[in-house]
Amino acid sequence: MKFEEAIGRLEAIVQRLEAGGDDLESQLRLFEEGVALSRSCEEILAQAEGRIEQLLGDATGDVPADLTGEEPPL
Amino acid sequence: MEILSVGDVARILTNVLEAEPRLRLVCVRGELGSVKAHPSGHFYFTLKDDSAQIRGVMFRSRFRNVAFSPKDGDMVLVTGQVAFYQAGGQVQIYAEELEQLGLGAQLLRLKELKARLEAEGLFNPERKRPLPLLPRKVGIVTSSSGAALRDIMQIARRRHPGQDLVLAPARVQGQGAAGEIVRALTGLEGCAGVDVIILGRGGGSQEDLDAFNDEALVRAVAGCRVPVVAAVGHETDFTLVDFAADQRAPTPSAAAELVVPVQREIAYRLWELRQRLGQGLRRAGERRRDRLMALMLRGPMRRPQELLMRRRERLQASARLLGHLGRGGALRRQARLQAAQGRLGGLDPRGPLRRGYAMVTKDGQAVALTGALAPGDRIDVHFADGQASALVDQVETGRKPGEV
Repeated sequence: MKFEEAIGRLEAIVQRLEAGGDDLESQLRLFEEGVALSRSCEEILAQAEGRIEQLLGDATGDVPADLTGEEPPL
Repeated sequence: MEILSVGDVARILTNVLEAEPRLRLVCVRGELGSVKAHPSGHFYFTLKDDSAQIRGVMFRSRFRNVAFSPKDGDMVLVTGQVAFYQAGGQVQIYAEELEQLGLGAQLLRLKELKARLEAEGLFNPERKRPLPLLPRKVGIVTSSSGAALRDIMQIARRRHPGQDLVLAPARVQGQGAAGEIVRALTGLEGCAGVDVIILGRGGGSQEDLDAFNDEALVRAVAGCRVPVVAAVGHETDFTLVDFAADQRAPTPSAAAELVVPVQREIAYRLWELRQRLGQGLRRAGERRRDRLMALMLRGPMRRPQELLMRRRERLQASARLLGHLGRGGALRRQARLQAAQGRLGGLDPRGPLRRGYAMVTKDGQAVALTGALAPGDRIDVHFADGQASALVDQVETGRKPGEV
């Protein structure tokens, strides 16, 4: 599942729980689904490693060394 | 026929042209070409349209007043006089004024292409796709040596250090640049995980940005599988790629800001949603409890023991009543019994014996009166607990029966 799908569904679940109106069993199911979604969102967020790949090449060659793997100046 | 010198012909030509009133003061619209600003300060040019061209010159004294820097391709309006330049053997315009009309041929072609692609719907707003909230990988098409790449990567790193990037370098100006950019775009499209592409370059002259007006490239951008953010040149530069892209950023840095989320913000949003998720369930439980409480506080549910008490009271009342009735009957029966027993006790001959009386018998017969006795009679005196035998000594009669 893509991140925005997951977080979008999570938001919908939260709003539905906040609105109330479902029976207890449905609410528990929604809650469990929400927990699972938030977990997979966390995982997606944590998965990003800050890798820099290069595709193809151009006439001027590789990525300049000062752009790879260096901490950004803050 | 008269034989003329070259100068004669030139003079005739000059006279003819001067005699034509429409050529004395002309206002000509055309495209500039072969422009040459001579060191002397004079400005030479060719004025042309699709069918013809004419030479022109603007002298220093006049050219000083021209507000813009005319260059090839500019559409201009030239005001001046058409005359024959005898030394050069050319008819030319002696320009007094030079005004820019804005669009040169190249710009006109661009306009025409834009109108055509627009008519095809390539720039329609409904074609624009939203950018992903958290792209798995951000594709970048730009020159690997340009400042644009440095800017994009710095911004990306600052916003989300974990953001994965895929570079597809391409020359962004000059011959063949458009083709390279198309190849880079296509390559990124086929790269798994690339959810959005930044296509950018720094600012430059109109010609430098020309590749971004290439029809094939514009089509590639419009047809790209993933959203494309165009960041070509500076804020004031516009290219057709800007129109075809899903979003336009004024600069490459701005494109990175559009595309790369601030990781902390995303994390915070998630955290907030998790909080609300838990609270939502808790509140759902609380709402249930509240409803239950409201019900419990109402009427009979409020103090069930009261209900029980009332019942018990009623029960006890009934029981008392029943008890009264029961006990009353028993008492009466007991009283009756005792009365009967009393009466019965009165009839017991031994009763009086217990109170101190004694009973006399003679020959087994109860002696009630003295008349039955004579001195010398043997009698039995009966007590409550036994009897005694006695001999009658003397009999006296005188008391009425019942007198003690």
